[in-house]
Amino acid sequence: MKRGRLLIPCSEAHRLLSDRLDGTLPPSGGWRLRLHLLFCDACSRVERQLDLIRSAMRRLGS
Amino acid sequence: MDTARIDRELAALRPQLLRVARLQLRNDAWAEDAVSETLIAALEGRERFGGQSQLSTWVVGILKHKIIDQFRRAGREVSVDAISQDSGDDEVENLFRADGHRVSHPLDWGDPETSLARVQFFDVLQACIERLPAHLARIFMMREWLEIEIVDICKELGITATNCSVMMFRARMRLRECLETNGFGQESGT
Repeated sequence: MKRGRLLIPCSEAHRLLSDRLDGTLPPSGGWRLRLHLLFCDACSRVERQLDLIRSAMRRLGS
Repeated sequence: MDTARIDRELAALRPQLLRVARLQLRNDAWAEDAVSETLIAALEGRERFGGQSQLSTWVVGILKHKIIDQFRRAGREVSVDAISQDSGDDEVENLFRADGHRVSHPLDWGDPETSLARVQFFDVLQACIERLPAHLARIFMMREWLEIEIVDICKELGITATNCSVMMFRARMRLRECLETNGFGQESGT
């Protein structure tokens, strides 16, 4: 696989994080995302924040 | 179980139920209906409330079912109106530079459990959902609050899977920004 296909920008990583939460991320996207998260603090932070928003939403109203 | 006490507690839950129902339905009359039906069902079924969970958790579960029933009854009428004309979203696109990097680094929100333990977090979260465009708020609530699978949401609303994913992405990005600009992720971490 070409290097260019593996390295994705943060904008795409954010989008893939969202898709992963909806269970619509294909395996290829999952690998590219994981690789990106290994090296990217900003996206790792956003990943934790989106997880937090999800946990909070499950408890909303109660 | 002290039924009089449960009745009083149920009545006290009404405002918070209304707020969350409004977030999902974006319509005061529908929200009133859903909450009234919920409270009636809870009063009728209060013998069945075993007290193993919190009363509010049990009642919110009933509310979710009532809202899903409402969707089924109304069918496509409750569908998201502005969806077809949904094009770009500057607020989200402006988060990134042309090369795909973020314009600003996301702040550290600190320990998730600490955030969730704060009542204020839920208050700001709800205010941020209120500020979302209606179509984004509805789909986001269906996915994250009602916990409906994304394929079923797309089907219900009659929109493509891609459109669904784009809207979920925009809703999540806008909410994250809104939470951050409203006090989460300060240097102190509290």
